[in-house]
Amino acid sequence: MKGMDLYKAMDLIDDNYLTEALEENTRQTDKRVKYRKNEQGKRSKIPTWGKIVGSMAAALLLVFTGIVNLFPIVAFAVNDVIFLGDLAKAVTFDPSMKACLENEYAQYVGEQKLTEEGYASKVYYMVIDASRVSIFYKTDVPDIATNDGDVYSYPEIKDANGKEMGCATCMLKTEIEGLYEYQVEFEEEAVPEQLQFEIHYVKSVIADAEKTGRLRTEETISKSVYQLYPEEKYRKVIKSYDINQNIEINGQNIWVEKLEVYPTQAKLWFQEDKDNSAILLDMDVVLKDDEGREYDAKANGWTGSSNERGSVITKFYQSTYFSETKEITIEIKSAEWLATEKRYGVISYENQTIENLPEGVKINEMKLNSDQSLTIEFCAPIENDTLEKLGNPCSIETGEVCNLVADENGEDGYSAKISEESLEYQIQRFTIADYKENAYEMEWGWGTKIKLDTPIEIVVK
Amino acid sequence: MEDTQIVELFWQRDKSAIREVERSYQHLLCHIAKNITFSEEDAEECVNDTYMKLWNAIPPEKPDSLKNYAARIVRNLAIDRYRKIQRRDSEIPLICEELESIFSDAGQDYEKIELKELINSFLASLGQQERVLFVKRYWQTESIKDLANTFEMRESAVKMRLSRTREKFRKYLKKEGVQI
Repeated sequence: MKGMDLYKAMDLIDDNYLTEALEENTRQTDKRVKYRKNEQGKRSKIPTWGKIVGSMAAALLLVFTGIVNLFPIVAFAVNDVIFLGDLAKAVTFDPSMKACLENEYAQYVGEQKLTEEGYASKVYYMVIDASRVSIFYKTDVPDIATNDGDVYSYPEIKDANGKEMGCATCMLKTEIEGLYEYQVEFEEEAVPEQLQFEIHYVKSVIADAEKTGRLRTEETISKSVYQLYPEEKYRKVIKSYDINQNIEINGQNIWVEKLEVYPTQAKLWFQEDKDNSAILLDMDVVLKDDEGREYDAKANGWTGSSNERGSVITKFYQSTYFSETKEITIEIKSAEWLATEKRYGVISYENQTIENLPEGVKINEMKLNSDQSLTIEFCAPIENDTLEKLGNPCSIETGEVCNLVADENGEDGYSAKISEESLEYQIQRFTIADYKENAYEMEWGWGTKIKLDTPIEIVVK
Repeated sequence: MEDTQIVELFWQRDKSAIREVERSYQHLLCHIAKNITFSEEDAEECVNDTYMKLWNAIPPEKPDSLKNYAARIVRNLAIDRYRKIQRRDSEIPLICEELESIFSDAGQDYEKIELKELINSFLASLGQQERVLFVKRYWQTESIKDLANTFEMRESAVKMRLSRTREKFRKYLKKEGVQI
């Protein structure tokens, strides 16, 4: 059977698997993690918030629709009336956001723009608390360019003066076609009274490679600018629980500082003791309400920083905010550690070695290329985050991640393939530009996970 | 509007059925067709032809999932169109190559029923994410880049997982006694 026939034969896939794939939640990229600079967290008061009146929002929508439909060119966005109930169904991948919307915890915006070039967009709602602003918007321009010359869109957040903000942002696709959620995280700074939200329309074009050094570049065509005003009754919503308790796990000390619960998420703050002999790489923790319901950690929900007392870690969880629980149990099930002295490993081409190679990882090849770049090929067990666990080569002198030479696809300087010997291993290649002997080291992230025989529980009220 | 209500409109020969399909699934259908044809214009034509096919097929057909039914039609139409235009920048040659690596030396023609059973029992043996990744790649013709965006993974990780799944499929076929 030829490839094309096999490809066509994939239509023999059962309906249930097709449904599963077509309905799979899609999440978008652009996830940037911001590290806290210090542990001087500010505690806010706990204000109450009022529900917005759903029927009022609906009435506004209808009036708005009536007016704008007089102008056919703007008909795109307003034809889509999205009610909170529909929105709640469209964010199934995020139980906390779903709970917000089901409880009508949202600020209606209902503003739309049409650029001179004819690109339409509309901002429907904002979901705001003291930690985050989520903007639900729609545009008729896709977020990915497939072909050269395609126009795509991306969002950006700025302050009221149009200056870029240092917030971590994340764009998510929802179940509703063309509707996105743009999350803006506020960690140390308060949610401002005004935000400038921009949707950029960009054309992907072939660049002059000799001049730009890139094969493809982008050309901004147009943008829509929205001024958004998060209401005060939402901007300060937080429930904060001081814990300040030391716990000992596997002979290491962890200071559990506080738990903050917002409508859209929960955050647990803890700190490693600087005298610990091992670095905490991960901790399996769940939150439980008084009915025993578990609130899991969010994917990629982990930020870190350090101060004079040691590393500070914040983990993000699904929110218990709408559960009306009287107490929350923090249950610690396991921890993953890496011995401090095994954190780094100096790379030596002359000796063909890297110090402190994690157990199970081996060097397949270390090759010095004619352009003085060094290619290192690892054979490492396949895990969800093998690449992250292998860490990055960095400069011993500056501590900065060293420059990597782009791989054959022109990306990153990493490349990976399955080991031909075993399906359980991955071949991972790093190519360091301008290699010098003993000037670089690997920062390992491969630790040992230890499950606790008896989970540690902390109850907060 | 629910699928069943739209199907009911088709049965009543109410042309608003087409508008409802368009409203609910146009983006999805265009996306599938464009993945295959790599052309906006061809994709649009495939989608329009899909509406026509739906109109002619329902009744007598009464699909349980109108979304899947329409998606299958547009995929087949887009494949036919691709066969005529053969755009070099399409993902199809790569996908075909990947599929051939599973069934590599199979000189035989599989019975359709046998192949259907093999594919679906293999899919049943996979974890959900692995299965969705497989279906999105080999049925929905998603590019590695789009899959990486969707699953928040590096492109290399997507390639790796697909490669593992293909290898599993090869082994599965061998275990099931299929001559490869």
